[in-house]
Amino acid sequence: MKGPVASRITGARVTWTWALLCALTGLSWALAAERRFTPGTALTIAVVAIAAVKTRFVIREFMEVRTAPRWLRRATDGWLAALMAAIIGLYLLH
Amino acid sequence: MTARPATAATPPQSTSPRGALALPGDVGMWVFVLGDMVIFGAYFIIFMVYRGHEQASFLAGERHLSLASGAVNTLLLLAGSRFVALAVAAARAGQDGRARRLVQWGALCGCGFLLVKAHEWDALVNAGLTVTHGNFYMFYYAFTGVHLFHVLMGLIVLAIMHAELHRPAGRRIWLIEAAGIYWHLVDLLWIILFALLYLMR
Repeated sequence: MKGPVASRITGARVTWTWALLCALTGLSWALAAERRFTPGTALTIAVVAIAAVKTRFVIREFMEVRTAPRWLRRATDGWLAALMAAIIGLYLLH
Repeated sequence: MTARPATAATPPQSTSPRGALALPGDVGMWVFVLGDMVIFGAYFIIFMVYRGHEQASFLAGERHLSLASGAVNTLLLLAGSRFVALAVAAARAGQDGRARRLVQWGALCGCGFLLVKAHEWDALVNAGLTVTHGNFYMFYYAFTGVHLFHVLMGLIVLAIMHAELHRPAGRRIWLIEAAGIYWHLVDLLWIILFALLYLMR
């Protein structure tokens, strides 16, 4: 029986997404370990940007928002963009 | 906007008859998830406002956190999310036994997260870094505590998902999808918490 909608996420795509997310986690871990005790604007922007990319992959791929109706794609992207802009903006303000 | 897909009459059932664009899970779960995202988002912004005013003390607080604990917990939740996403795909394909095993692996990752977090809290409290140790630790315990509650809820949700996979005759794929979406929410909130509490300088 042909069950799922063709565009639903496949096992291979889940695993590739997961591998990418792990690599990005390792990258931000290594970046932050380099500079433990002093403020770093470039580092902070980098780790927040990596977190934004990871969050979007979780939403789009694992939560399958990529193939969801437009209102949901827009709502989640809008939330992420507004939150990340606020975090970076407030960081740079001080 | 779409309504919840019809209850499956026979297994394995299609997720939705509406073609390529379909709402995973059900509207109720998405209302909850989006609401939770907005509430957490507001608290993240409040954290950033406080951090801006007390940058030195937040940075000093951060140096006592174990970067490795935060990173390992991120990897545990990512692995858990992978298992649960694979479980949803297996359930759609009618492979309920495989889906159940994958849910069990996902729950194991969640339990691993709880153990790492308990160990981390224990070490911090023993070092005298309790909730009264400045605003950074006030936020740290509030955020990680509320998040931990989400992990516990997630384990209950996985148990419901597991039970649903034991009902081949009447299992509801929307419910299995909705459970997966909740589990991924726990993962994505931690990704942002990890950046705000452990990574930024």
